[in-house]
Amino acid sequence: MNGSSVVEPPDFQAATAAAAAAARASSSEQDEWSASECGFLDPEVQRVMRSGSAAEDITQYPMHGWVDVTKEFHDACAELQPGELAQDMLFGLFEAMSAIEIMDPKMDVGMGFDKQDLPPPSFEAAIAMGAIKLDDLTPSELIGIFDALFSCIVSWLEGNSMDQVLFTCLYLHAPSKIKDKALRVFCTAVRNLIVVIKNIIAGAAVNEEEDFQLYGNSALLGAEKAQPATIFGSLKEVEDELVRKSKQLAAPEDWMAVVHRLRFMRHLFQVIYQVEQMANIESSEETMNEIYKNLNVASELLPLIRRTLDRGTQPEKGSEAPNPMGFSPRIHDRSQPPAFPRSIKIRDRPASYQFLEEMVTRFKYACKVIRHKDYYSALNFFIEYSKKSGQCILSRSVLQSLFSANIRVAHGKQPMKQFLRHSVQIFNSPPVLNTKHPVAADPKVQQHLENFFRYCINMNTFTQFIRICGFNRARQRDKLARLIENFDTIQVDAARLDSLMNQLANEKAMEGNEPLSTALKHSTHFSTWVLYNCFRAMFIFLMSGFELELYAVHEFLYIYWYPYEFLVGFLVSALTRTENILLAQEEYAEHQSKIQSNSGSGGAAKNRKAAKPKKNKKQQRPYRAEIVFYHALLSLCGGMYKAMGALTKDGRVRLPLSKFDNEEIRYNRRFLPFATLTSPPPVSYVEFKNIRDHMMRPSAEELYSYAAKHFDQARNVLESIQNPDQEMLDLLQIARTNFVVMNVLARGHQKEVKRQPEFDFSKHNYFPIIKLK
Amino acid sequence: MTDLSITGQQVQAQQFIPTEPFRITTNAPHQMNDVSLTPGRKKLQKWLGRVLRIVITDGRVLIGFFNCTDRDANIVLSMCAEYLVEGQEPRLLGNVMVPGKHIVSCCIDEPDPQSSLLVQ
Repeated sequence: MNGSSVVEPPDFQAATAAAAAAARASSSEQDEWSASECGFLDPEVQRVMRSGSAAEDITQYPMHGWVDVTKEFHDACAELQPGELAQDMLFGLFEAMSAIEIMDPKMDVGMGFDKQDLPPPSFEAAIAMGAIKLDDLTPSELIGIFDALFSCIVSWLEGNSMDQVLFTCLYLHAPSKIKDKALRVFCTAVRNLIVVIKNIIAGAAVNEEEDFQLYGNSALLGAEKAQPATIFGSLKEVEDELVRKSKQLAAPEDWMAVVHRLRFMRHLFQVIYQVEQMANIESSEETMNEIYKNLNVASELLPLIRRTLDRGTQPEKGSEAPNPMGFSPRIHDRSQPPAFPRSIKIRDRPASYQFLEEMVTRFKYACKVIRHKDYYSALNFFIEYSKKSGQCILSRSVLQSLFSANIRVAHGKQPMKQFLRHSVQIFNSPPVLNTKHPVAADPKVQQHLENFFRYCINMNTFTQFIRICGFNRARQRDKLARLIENFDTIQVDAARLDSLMNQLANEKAMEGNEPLSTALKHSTHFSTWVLYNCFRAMFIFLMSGFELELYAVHEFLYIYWYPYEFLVGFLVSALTRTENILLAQEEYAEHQSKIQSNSGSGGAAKNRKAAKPKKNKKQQRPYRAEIVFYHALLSLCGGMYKAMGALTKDGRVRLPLSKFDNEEIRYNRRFLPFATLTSPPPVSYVEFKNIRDHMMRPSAEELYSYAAKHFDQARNVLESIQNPDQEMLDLLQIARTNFVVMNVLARGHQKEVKRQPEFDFSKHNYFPIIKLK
Repeated sequence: MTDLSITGQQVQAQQFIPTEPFRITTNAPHQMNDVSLTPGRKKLQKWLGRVLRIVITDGRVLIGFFNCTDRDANIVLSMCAEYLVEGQEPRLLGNVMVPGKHIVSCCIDEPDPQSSLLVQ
């Protein structure tokens, strides 16, 4: 406390003495300001005084009377040094950070109000003023309002407050009072849509505060009860009426444009409503088909709508209202909580329809989740979906709802436990899970399996992994870190189950029960499955740091080193092991069936026929494509690792000043979530340092050429892939370019220029193109 | 008890010399009667924690507790009320920072010298 006012005290005693002396000196003096005039000495009294009933209400001031001190104040301030503050003793960082900056267009909602301005009109006021029509709207007015409302929906889905976008439309305040049928039905549909969308997003629970404002002016919504089930019918009815009407007109185009918007709303609404109803539905397949049909109709309507955008009334230039009639842009500004004031930009109409078109495409893509009947492929689907559609909260929530209505079920009504059991069987087919096997009925074995899967469900680890993929990209990382820690206990349990099965097999063998023993002949099926998923989470966690731009360039070295040295290798070996197990079981089954057919029976021939195509399918090796892809990633990681080593050695990487640097701390922070795992065992900083020192021994030129070799390998692997997708093509380009750059550097190009190259992540989130400047 | 220091070194009852320049002027007790403060700083110190009324360039009136200021007269107010028209219903803003360049005038709620705030 005294620190600021005492000349560097030589030690504590001196400081105390100095303070005591100061106190003595000051108390003897005649005070220039009395204590009461300067505020209170006791902070507690201060606090009480500030929050006390009298002082709490700022509107009661002035207590005494205003005295103008403008000049005095500025003169006083001018005495302060640059950067110097005069601050209240209760003023701290929190107060400083939470302050709203007045006259800042983003923060100050009160800005731009004119004293002469009338308050923004409410629904009733607008009717009284004649500012909004309730009946006999022209098609152009309807189109204008509909398009503006779609823009508001889009702006809401992009994270704005419902009050500041949707409820600026006065028609939404009381749709039942609108006389024009088309407008009334449309506005009722929008209000119901709000309720349904809120339900979906709240149910899926993959939203964060930056994605979506779940809460808004519920009083406005509550005024008229939502009846989502009736919307489809009433929209259809009004459409039919308008179509009939337009048939009698010479130029029906304007009315047809209205009809198209109503129809689009009808199908979009139906899709979203059906998604919400997924939880209560018996057959998800059927609903999914209907959803898909509705989506198709909706996407066919969008080009028609976009072509007729100019038929509607357009927003006035310089006005904040998205449409000239029916909107009162600032109506809720002053009712927002104080920390909330922001100026809102409502999306323009073409961009809004663009958004809706993309959203419909994303919904269609989400419907494909129904094909992914096991955990392995479902997880892959979710990871892909997050990469492609991660930015839209509704799309992400819809996918979650389509896949599992709640955490205990998958695909409609299938219990999650069943789903996981089935998934392991698909993944590496442990013999005990095969119902045809003689041990399947063994109650002891069944009990162990039951326990394991129940444990998986109770730990929530697997379901959580899928849910995490539904969050926005920036939030996934922290959640993955926590998930990875959870894997440890499940790994232990899986390993125990594996060894139990092995033990049982041995027991049966001892008993001389050969077929049973072979049936139980168990490799590390369950632990491989668990580990594989854990590795995936680890890999995504580590690489997401590049996407989120968390890593400094000098950290790249160990980030790429870990997957190169361990992680990708683990993934490849887990998959290879799984494939080999599957192949071995295949051969064994074939062998068995041969024995059976040799023993001779009519049905055997049939069996063999059935077995043949299956064998061919398996011989393609189910994980081949993924393994090849991981090989490419491995080479890319290796290339980046050695490239970073070479660049560091060459003095081209900016390193932190040693005074501020502790690489060990940074290393440990980066790999913190892995530290608690038993498998794979954590790699200490010392181990890493040894490996790096060894790698860094050759000359920079040699290192550059090693890196080039890795990139060349990556290129070869990627080129060998048939029908590569866009990601592979992008990686191929990265590998090619970096190969060239490394070769150039290896030949001593720009030897004397020690500039840090640019790392361009625009092609791929995880791997940069290295660019020399 | 004359020797205060463990090291045995005699501590001088030295004159209280504040470091110059001050980085922070506060109304905290230890600084209240600091004689070395310049008159302007003293004035600011006196006003801290009091209620300030600021008129800004667009005509709004902000009334709140004076919390902090700097050389450019950027002012932080707490529990601030914003009046579009004085006398009408205000909107409560909480903490606000008013950039000095937008300040038209400021007034302080000057207490009657006779009645101390403690008594209220």
